[in-house]
Amino acid sequence: MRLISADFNAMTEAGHVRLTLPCSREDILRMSLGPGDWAWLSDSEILVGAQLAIDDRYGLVGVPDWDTLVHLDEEGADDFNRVSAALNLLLKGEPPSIEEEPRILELLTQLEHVAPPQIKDASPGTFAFRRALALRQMGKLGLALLEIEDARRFRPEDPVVVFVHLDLLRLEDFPAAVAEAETVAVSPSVPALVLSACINILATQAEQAAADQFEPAARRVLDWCRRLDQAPDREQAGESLLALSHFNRGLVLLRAGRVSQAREAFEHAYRIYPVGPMLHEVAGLQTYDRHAREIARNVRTLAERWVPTRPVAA
Amino acid sequence: MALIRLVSAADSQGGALRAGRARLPDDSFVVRCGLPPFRGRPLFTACDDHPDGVYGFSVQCAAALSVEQLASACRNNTVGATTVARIRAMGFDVVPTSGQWWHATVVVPKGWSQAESERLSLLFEPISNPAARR
Repeated sequence: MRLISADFNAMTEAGHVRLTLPCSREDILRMSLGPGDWAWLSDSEILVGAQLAIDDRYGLVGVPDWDTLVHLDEEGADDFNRVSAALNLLLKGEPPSIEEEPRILELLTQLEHVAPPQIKDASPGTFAFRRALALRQMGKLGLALLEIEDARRFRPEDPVVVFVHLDLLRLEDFPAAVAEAETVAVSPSVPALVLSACINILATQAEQAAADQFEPAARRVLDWCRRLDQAPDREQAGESLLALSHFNRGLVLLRAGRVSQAREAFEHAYRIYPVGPMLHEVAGLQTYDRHAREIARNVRTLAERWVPTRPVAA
Repeated sequence: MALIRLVSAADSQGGALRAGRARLPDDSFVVRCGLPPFRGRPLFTACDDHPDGVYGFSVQCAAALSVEQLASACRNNTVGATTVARIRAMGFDVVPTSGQWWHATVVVPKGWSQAESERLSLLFEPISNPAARR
């Protein structure tokens, strides 16, 4: 966890936390952080996500997002069994409701705080991974990205972690997502789940590409789709993500003017995962126009719910 | 990317303006967010140069306000409370400074020792925060 010691007494008029105190400065220097970076601020009793910024009067400050406040000083928060039981109760009903995510975030953080080392060591990165999912659901993408990067440091090869990382990059920092997808997809043994995320990113890029840049991008998407077709582990991507890949293939083909192949891909997507009226509408697309782009955007928004919730080795 | 350069509500004249403020009465309460003796954030490491021109650590303090009112500035479930008189009796001072709510600074010398800071932290009595900000 990227943690900065902070004093919540030292607040500016705007409610930002002054980070010029020695206790904060040490952490900031050690982690080479600067304005724009996200981090967690804590006085060891409460903890909150914040983005670093420069205040003209006070210097470096943290702009806290109080929706992410975690009380480590809550009664019972130091009782591992109690926190663990409360968390399991919420996670049992997965997918949890969005209203439960802030509490899940809080319990995860409390649990990590009191968990014995052998529990943390047994599954490194799991707390960060699950925190990333909670934050993603809460719409706190900067902090979610911070957590998934933490999880990935511990689990660089875990396909679910890499998938969520790519997906969060796509939402928060698209150019970085494209660069990462290109790097990741180089490996011939990239897991199908990860390849499906790469395809989604590249297909979005192809869709946005200027006419003279479309062809190479489209070629790459189609090439990656073929790789996904032949991947021995393609079932691990799940029906929804495989359908999304066929949809992405169809959209690229549609823009390339290969309408019958595009419709074939759309129909294939619908056969695999016939959920929602939108995918049905997709099957009827004939031309790559504003309507098609609108549908594409809607399908991608719908697909944002299709995120695996557990790291492979958890 | 969110805005990363902020313009403070206080202008650059803030220090000069605040220097003219009335002295806090001895019987004013002083509240510091967190559980005394603030092991998680020792007073010794919580000091810096406030832009108003004093060196020390942050607290909430204002004349005629109750501990409960001052504690409502804190999100911690526990706060430490003392009075201006007790701090002055140890040879330090409390002055209003710019910041959120009733921000004030307990002014200490730059070269103070860790032992002195620990003694000062013992002045703060732990009180359950009845009005923790959410």
